[in-house]
Amino acid sequence: MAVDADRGEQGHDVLVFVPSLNDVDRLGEISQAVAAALPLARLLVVDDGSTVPIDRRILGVDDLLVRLPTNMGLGVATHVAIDHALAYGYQIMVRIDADGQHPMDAILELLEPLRADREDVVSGERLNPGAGNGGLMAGLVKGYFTLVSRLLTAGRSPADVNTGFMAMNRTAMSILNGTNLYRFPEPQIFLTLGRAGLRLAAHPIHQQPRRHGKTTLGWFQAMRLLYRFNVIALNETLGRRRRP
Amino acid sequence: MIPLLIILLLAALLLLLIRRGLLEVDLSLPWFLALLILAAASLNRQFVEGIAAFFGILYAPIAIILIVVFILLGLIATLALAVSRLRQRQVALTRHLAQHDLRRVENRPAPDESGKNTI
Repeated sequence: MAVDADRGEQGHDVLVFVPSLNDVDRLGEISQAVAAALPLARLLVVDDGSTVPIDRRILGVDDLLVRLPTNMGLGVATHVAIDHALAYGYQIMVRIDADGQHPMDAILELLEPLRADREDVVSGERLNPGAGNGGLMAGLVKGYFTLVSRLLTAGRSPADVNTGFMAMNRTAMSILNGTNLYRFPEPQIFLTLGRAGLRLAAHPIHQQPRRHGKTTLGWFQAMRLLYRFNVIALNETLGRRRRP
Repeated sequence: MIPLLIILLLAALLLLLIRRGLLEVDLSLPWFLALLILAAASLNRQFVEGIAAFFGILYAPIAIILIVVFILLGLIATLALAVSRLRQRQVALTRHLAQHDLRRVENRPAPDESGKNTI
């Protein structure tokens, strides 16, 4: 296993990954909040083909920014972050959303069980999932994802498999590195890692309300999400179990 | 005679598309096979009657419609596979480019690449 002596001196063992698609209003705040809460961490913003490229100046000097040439989806953005984390020896990757809904002060609670090697993945379980996520259709679809994930992982996956607030160690990253993550990869992540027998835990959080807009899910999009998830679930069930 | 002329015209069109670089040679193969099957169906009555008998179709010319349907399904499947492969390559390229960009920003090689500090 490669050891980066530089990283030991700098202490950059945590990569905080923020995917962004036309969502820049709170990136500056997030950068400052992460630097304050986690002085040892490195922030990586993946601009997933925003219409207007993210201005590098809104981020901190040490923050990383990579822009994808076109909108490739959250699955690919997550792979970019995992590729980087694995290549540069980061021990933990934290994902938070660019809309600022995830409370920064909860990051430390996510990290603690990972550092103590009690868990492989810790997710932020939203106590108020309705904040900013509108629509009966969205609720039904997400409820279905949670139900199926918990069935297929024998209850190992968290109660909220749609949360984008999560932290994982290198074992989890390595397993995900061998998969193909699709758009809206969150349920797929928990399903895959749960089926691989990893230790998954959830930490309750209060999601901040969205400042603008809300998630809406039309019928067609819902059908596509359901179809994709069912195929992934079937694939995970029939395929060989991934081992850490 | 007319069906043969039409088939030859379509084949010439296929060749023209390939020569102009508008159609990949590999992707033209299913089209070529489709033209061969249609040529056989239009020139050889026994071929059509054989297909009809195999599928239990009483009126033999209807078998041509069945042949066309299967050809179309085959072409669509081929295109879907080609698009999927393209998407996979697109994702691989994107990840590679992103790592290239991040390598520059990190201003140092990845630990494994430097060959230093390996256990």
